[in-house]
Amino acid sequence: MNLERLPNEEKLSLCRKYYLDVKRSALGLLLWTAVLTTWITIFQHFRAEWGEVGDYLSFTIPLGIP
Amino acid sequence: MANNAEDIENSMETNVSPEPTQQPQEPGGVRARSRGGDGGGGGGGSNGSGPEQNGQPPAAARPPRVVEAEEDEDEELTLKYGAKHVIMLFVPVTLCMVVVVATIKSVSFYTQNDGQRLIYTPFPEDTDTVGQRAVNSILNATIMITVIIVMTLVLVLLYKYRCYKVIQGWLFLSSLLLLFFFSYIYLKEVFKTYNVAMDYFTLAVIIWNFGVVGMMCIHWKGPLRLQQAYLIMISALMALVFIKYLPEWTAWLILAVISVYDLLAVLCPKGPLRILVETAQERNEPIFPALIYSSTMVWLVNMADTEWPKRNSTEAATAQQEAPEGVTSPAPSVLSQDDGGFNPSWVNQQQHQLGPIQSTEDTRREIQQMPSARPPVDDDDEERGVKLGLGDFIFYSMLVGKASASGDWNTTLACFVAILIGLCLTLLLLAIFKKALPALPISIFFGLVFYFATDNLVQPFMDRLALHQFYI
Repeated sequence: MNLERLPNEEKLSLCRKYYLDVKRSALGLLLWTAVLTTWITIFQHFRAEWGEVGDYLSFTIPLGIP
Repeated sequence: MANNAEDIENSMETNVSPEPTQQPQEPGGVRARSRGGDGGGGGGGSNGSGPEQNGQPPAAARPPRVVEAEEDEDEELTLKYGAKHVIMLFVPVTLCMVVVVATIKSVSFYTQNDGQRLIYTPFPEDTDTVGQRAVNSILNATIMITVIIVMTLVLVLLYKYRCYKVIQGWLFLSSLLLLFFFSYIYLKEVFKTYNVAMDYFTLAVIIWNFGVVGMMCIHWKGPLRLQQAYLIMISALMALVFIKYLPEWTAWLILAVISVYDLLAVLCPKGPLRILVETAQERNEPIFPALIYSSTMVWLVNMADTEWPKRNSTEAATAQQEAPEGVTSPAPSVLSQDDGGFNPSWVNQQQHQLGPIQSTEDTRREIQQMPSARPPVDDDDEERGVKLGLGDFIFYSMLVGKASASGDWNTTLACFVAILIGLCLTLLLLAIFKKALPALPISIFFGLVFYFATDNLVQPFMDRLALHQFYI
């Protein structure tokens, strides 16, 4: 489709559709930021204390004393 | 990797060019370069009714001045156009090299010798005598180049016999593996280097997002900058793999041989890549927009207007890495005595990845030339970009990466400058010849010369000076 050739109403409806998607995407971003930040904080803080479970969850295990 | 013809395409068309903004002559006389004849004719025609027109200069004086002005502006625009596109390519090439050098300097994984080798370079280089080592490296390079040639031929045949689905699937799988698997390994090594704990969940989120967005950007649609960024990243990843898995002498030999092959394949009349270009031109199709870095996104606008049904999806992609595909299905071979933790399934994966990678290099050297039947693009200079094959990025970065791995900063900088100079020259030639050119030979040649010269001559000299605190 050629953007210039669309009549105005269709352009408007397209804009609305995309904007809805943008809003949903922003919502998803906020949600994921919250979830990830919480999880990462918990993990980094308590990883050493969890012992074996912590090691099992870890992809890379840092050397040295936590 | 196959040196796909990294041709830098100058997509300037002199036929459909915008009117130069500065008009030394009357505006009416010089409409556009291609329409100069009409302008001259129009001027002559209007002058025919002589005394009745006001302010019409003598017709006879007009056409010569018009033609001269056009030629001058032609030259000027060519040079200006060329210079702008040189800069447009400098940035991504520099970025790719910076990423590779930064990784090499900080993550020691890529310079460690684990004893792992590619299946394509089976001869080890840690031999007793120098002669044996030389022979081994020559054999390795020969095998590699043969694989690349075979892959290129397979690709050209597939293209000639219209097996588009196979090629597209191949590219898809290649980029899939590159975006997911190699970036996984890269992240793992980076985390290990910086001693950071990472859990599987977060890692999965990161890799998944990176991979899926990459696949979309490369194979479908996406913001231009993001697409370019992904292409740079996968080129850097590929270059890092090569730096790690190719032994020292083999790597340098391969660089040299591949530049020669690039030259031959693109310029010789029977060269596979040239055949590819010509076939594509006969069919009025674009050649694999995939695997090419493009500085602009010109064709998206005209996509719906064209009649290339199967091309639409690939046209949106500017460059990709092909996913390893089972075109080569080598038997699993043991690469080294000591697994080092890599079990045969991992080795298989490596082979698969690296197999298509060879082929991808071939495809990467797609010659991008604008088919003449492309619908006229009524845009201005800015939209016509230059294209550079991903294989070029990979080999440039590989050269600079190896220089930084074994030399120090003098050598690295010297190679970097050499490659950019080579790129400049190649683009200059492109502006002159206006057809697809191989981008590897000049740059790699300069790079190799500068590397060996700096490493063996300049570096000891500088060291001695520093040692004796002698400043010049």
